[in-house]
Amino acid sequence: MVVGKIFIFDNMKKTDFFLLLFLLIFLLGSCGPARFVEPLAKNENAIAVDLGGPLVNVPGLATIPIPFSSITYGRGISNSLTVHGSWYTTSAVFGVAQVGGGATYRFWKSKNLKHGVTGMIGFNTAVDVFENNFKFWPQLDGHYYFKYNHRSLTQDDLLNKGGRPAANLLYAGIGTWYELGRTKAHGEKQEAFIVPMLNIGHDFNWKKWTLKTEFKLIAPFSSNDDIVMDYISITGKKGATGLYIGLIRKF
Amino acid sequence: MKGNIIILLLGVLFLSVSCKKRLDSFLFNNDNSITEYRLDNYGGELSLDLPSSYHIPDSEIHQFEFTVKDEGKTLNISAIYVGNLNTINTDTVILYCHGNKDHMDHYWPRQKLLSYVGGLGRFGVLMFDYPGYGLSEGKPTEDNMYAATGGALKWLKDKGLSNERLIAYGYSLGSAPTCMSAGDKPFVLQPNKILLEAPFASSEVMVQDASVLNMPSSYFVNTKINNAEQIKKCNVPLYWMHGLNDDFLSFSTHGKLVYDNHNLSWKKKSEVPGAGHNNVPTFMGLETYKNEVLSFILKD
Repeated sequence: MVVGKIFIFDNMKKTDFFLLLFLLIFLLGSCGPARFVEPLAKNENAIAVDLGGPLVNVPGLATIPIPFSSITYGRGISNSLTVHGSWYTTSAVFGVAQVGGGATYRFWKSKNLKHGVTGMIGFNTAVDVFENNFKFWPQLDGHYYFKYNHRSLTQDDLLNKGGRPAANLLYAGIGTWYELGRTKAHGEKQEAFIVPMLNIGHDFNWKKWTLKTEFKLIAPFSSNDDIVMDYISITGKKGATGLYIGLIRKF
Repeated sequence: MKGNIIILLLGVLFLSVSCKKRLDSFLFNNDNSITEYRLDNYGGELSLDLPSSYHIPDSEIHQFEFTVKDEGKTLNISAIYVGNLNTINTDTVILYCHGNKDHMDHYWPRQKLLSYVGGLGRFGVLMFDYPGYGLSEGKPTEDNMYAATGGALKWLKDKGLSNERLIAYGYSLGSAPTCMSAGDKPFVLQPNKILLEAPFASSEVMVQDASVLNMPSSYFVNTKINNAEQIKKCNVPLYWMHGLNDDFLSFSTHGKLVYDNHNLSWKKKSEVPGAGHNNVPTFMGLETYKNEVLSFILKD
């Protein structure tokens, strides 16, 4: 969500852990990976831990994804609707209580259950403990998924997963955040109302566990030209490219 | 039991906001590992490549300390004055507020260059290290940076300087005390004119530049450094210089905003093609730079 600039003005040379932390927090607006692209089964619960962020070339170190983190809880309300909430752990360490929430709904699935289209409506909100500045950003995502490597249907699938066999998942879609403020600092006009991102991801699914990886193109229409760090973006001087990894435990 | 664990986990997560880590320290890229200022013999990175012809005789270089109060503590602040100490009561003096990197050795070429504006000795030039920089005591904060600036101005006033002969020059981070000196005017002297090279607008602009979203700076730092607002209260002339290729503090969102918000007196600007954040004088050309600074100082 955010393409960063840092506070080290004159010929930056520090590349220590704190720099990474700095970049990390500066990019906290870069939300985590897409949440529950395929909805959970009815009454199924899940806890997800995510880590990752935009790729950045840290001088003298390497090109790395910024490792920010969040914890998410989700619950299947029906086989097509999952509600979820996230707590941004890194933000919290810096005195910012950032919470995300939303509902993912499956609009369509193929008869063989291999394909589906889901949408997510949600929000992200944050408040700091220093000045109590509060922000609220609506969020709207849409994804197409494709399931492959279907394992055979087990009795457990029939009893507990709405008859769905375990399968790996490929998905692609668009995420959007909405900035509701019309002015920025000092009365300057807020240019961006919609901040889009393109998501391509993969879920390795086991019986109770999921290993999620996601590639994200963040703010692909916003310039990253005046940025002190070299963000790696497949669009060159636009946006930032993110890599995320997550672990989900279903119960 | 399971419920208690969940409640405990949630409690730990929410309590984690009490860590209250801040990123202000990154504003100050200071180096306080030195044991002495080496000036022309300094082997570290310099803020400017200056020809050896810009030589300052030892008799014109005065290193000294003054003290400031910071949260109840007394800090020794190191400073260098280039000029004649005995004629400060009649000279015009440039107070040079340096950027956020290292210490005065790094910026020594900048002080030498300003000492040659109008010819060596035309103006006295005072530079000092903020707390935590070089040999100055303390840890750098926004407040004690202003305190050190106030201390430097008090030293000048004690030597006989008056407002009409004070010129404040702020580069990068140094634009903050410079704007403060002409904005809120909390110091014992107020500058007659100010120069801002590659200034930043505010912490708020930094954060919002970095985030496509409109995020408050309080999510990241306590530091305000609100030059964009301070400059609105500035009623003395401004000379703004900024590299068009500045990739640290954007020409448009930082420098131009400060320039546009200055409306209580006349102003002058140099938009420098090709220049980045650290090399405006080089891209202007050293002679042009000196002449432009001189003409600004001398203009009524």
